[in-house]
Amino acid sequence: MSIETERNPWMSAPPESEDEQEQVEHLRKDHLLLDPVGMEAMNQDALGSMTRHGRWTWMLIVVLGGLAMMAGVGWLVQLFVGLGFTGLNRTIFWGMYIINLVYFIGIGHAGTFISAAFRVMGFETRRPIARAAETVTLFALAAAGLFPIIHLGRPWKVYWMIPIPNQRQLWPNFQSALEWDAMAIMTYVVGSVLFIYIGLLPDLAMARERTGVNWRRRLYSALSLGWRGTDRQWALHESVSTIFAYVIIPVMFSVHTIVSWDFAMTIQPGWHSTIFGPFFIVGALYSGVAAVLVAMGFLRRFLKLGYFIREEHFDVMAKFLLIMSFAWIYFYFGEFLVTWYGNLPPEMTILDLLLYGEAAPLWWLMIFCNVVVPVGLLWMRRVRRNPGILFVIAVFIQVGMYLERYLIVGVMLGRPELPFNYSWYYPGLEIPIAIGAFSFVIFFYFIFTVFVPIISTWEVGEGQFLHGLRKIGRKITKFKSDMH
Amino acid sequence: MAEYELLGLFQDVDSAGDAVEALRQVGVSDRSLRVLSAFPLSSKILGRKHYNHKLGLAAGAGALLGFAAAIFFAVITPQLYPIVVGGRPLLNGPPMLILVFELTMLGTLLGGFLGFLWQGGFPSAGGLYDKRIAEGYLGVAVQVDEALLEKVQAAYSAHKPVDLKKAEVKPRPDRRLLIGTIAIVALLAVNFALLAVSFDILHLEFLPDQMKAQISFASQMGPRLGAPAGAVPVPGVALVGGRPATAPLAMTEDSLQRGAILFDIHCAVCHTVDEDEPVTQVASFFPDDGEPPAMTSARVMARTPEQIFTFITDGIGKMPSLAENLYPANRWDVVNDVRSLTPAE
Repeated sequence: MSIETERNPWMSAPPESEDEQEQVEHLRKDHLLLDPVGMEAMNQDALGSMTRHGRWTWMLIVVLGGLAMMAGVGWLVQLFVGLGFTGLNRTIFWGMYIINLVYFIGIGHAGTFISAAFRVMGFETRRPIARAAETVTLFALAAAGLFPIIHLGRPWKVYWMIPIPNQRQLWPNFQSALEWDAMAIMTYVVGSVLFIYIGLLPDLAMARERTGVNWRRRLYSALSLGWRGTDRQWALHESVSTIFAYVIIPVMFSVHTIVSWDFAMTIQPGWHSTIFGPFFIVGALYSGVAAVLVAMGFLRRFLKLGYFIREEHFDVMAKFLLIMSFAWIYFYFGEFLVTWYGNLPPEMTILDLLLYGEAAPLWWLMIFCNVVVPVGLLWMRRVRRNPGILFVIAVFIQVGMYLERYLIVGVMLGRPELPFNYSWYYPGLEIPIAIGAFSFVIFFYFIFTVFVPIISTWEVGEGQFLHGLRKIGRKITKFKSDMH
Repeated sequence: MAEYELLGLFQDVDSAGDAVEALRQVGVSDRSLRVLSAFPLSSKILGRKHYNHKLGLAAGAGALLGFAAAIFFAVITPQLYPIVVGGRPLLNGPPMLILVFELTMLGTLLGGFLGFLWQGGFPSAGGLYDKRIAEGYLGVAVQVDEALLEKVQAAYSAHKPVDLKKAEVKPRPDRRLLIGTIAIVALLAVNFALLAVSFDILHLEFLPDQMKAQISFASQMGPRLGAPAGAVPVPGVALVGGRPATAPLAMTEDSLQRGAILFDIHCAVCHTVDEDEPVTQVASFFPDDGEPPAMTSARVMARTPEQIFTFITDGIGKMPSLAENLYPANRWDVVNDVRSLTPAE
């Protein structure tokens, strides 16, 4: 196959010798943006992925849906029996529901970061994986949003959080960290949904024209809002995407900072710390990037999107993951070093509990998952380019980050200042609900891939249009042209 | 005069750009020209004028609205529904800043998105399209009236389009202004309705006024609730009309034993048993007022059990009330103990 294609005028000179031919083939194999097959073939591949769920994938989807329904049944039980049915007690009033909230908001962070920050900084890696990452955000946020409601004993009163004029003569207190949280998460959800929708418009229009199925055509016609791809629409599209990218990055930082302030604004030992905001953000990005790696592995394996999601993308994400692991270790060490040096009795109680006490097995398991596994393995190029091993590492990090949140909420909270109030937390009903929540996210992720092309072909097409090969001396290398 | 829309398909950027230039030369205005592509191409590549859109303005307006909403929520509404703050200020800066930040950002996002919809003309059903555009072909669309039609068609054919589509433009009223106005009016109406409900101008019977409807009592106001099952009774009042509310306990051995222990704890700091015993440390504080009487003195022996009970409960002279120290039943134990004492021979 020659590098010259009809649709790619930038790649002009065909290779002259066998050596050059080899170099070119090597580059094309490595880089998606140097390997154009034409928009038509790409569109077919991306649209085909919507119907490429095999028998096993569908069985997995059904099982996941069943598990998600199990969580619904569990919630019903709790509605009838009351919150007392859970393992929550008077000292540990926040249990796995709040752990899940923090965890899912955490993995919801990477999607927007990869999409928005990579866009602002001009990282080409984002092109094929941005939508896959944003979708993680979308459903992780949906799951996270459920948990404060599940945590309410009387969820039908959730609208009391919303500032609407009312006959109750009650008004939400905006001085409360919980109210900031509601506001920040609402802003983030609205921003994320609109951001993913704006990016989808051109692909929905493409799907509208190509699909042969009647209900699909109607769905895409309605959703694509009559997108034609005129130069004015594209100019607006570029600008609105840039505005969203610049706005949504600080919003993303604020969301997890405010989640951390839910904790840090109390005087609970182990929580009352100024470092909590950035520490939570780093933790969120860490678990979020790992979650995106899990999703990329799923897509490549189950939807056979090997053309789009290549080893180079896994490599970049794995490097990002390694950097985030260093950042997380740095913050965690800083947090504990200050505690240890300060040597305040209530805080030392918690440190002893984690390092040598009853919670030590969980703590050391967390250190193994979050520090030993990623730092020990990710420095190897061969590991970074192996989706299978990366998948396992990413799952380890999920376990580690879940444990980290579990230790903060489920263990530290049991050691308040007064020893009289010491307590332990044994989750019961929360466990099936948490399993259901994980299933919920993966279930809807798969269902989303049935309805929507999970690869943004216009972004990949643009990238391929901008990239080309040139010869310097005897080496063929890639270059990028700047259109603006 | 009838208007026509034409869409020419081109295989690459160069020929599309040339076609745009040719069309402009035959008198097609830049406004009625569009280039359709599968991914963004800058106006310079297509040889077009820079498109000055007002998206920044829309986002800025949204930000201002969001900021105003935040100030309304953070500063004005807390004063409409004041909460009990225990002497602390009702409005605080830093929490207000957080709300202002979030709502300003939300306003920016919504303003940007609505501006995008408005200026992009979404949702729209009009316009020629070809599915090959999503496959990488470029479309050049123009809208011209009949007079220019032939020249334009010639300009197209000169650049060898892959395909040329033609359709008559049916005039379609622009309903965006109408829809926008209706949306704003509807929003305002909903807001005013909610405010009317809030201030009881409009009272909806089916919406329970939860604060007013619930049963509430001022402090100490009856009727008293019954004791829940399994509650442990606490001792009731000790005195009724100045006399003990309970009957004296029988002088059993248990009672006497308890009384002796309690006497040593609560009474013996001041009172001796025999008059001959040396005065206690406490008694030495009252050299002029007379010492606390010994328990077997004539003064004490003359008192009835009820009187001693009353003295323990209320105190007398310099003696304080011991009601906090002793349950009524235990006071009777102490009384029994005092009654059982006899002067030393």
